[in-house]
Amino acid sequence: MMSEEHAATWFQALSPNPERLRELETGIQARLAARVATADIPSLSAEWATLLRERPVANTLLVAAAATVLAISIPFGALAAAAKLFA
Amino acid sequence: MYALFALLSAPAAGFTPAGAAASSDEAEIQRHVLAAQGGDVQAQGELYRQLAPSVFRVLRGLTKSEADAEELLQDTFVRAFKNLKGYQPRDGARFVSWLMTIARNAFFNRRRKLGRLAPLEPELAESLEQGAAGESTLDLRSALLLVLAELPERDRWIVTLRYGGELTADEVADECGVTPANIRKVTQRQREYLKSRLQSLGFSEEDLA
Repeated sequence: MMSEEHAATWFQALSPNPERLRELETGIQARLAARVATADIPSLSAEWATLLRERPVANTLLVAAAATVLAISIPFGALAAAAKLFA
Repeated sequence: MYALFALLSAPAAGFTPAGAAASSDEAEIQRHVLAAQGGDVQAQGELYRQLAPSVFRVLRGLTKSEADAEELLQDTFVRAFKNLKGYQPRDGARFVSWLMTIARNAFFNRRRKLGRLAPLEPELAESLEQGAAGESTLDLRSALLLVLAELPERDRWIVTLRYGGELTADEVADECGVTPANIRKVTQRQREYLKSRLQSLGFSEEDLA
């Protein structure tokens, strides 16, 4: 009958090389640092949110105007395309 | 899936983990966890230095290549440190158990992403053939890796958690979703198998004592 202590002793043979373990730790730190750096880059939506928060009236009007121009231009564009097609 | 294991019960064993994550060290580990949750990088380093060897032994026993085990070790600690603020200590479960769960998830995620993990390293496969033919003697590490690779994956996970990770039978049972008695049955059976296979690879009774 094998004792559990013996089996645990065999598995110590799978222990990593301490030097290699330190190298891997450096890799982990680099990956964590890269995550933090990526998290610092603001997204476009975050930029918009900040703008709207800082100057809510002016920027809301700006966004509304841009959306209106876009909405109006779509039917005109479609009409122009249709006219070209049937000309 | 471990909940499906239909295993018989076995008498309790007296083995208590004696390595990095022994219960006497748990208070110290928890102090480091608390500091690391507050952003203490040195505490993160301490956690890594104290627990990485046991996590690595488990991952090395589970995978068939050193490179996979190293990659998974890094994945495990990156995920752990990233999610450390969400860690809550549970009664009867050491911090290392939480790490092992992350290690297991990292293993399955990596395998799903890559389709499969690397096959048995060529040098080990060659050693196995030579050992079987009586042409060479293997060191214990290589022999153990070869024999572990023969076990069904669920048994390999249980055995490496118990002996490589030095988790208690209760902790392994919690991790695998089965009863501690089931775990004792599996570990007892696989211990005997490992011993007989190691002996067939040239290890004597004294070598394994």
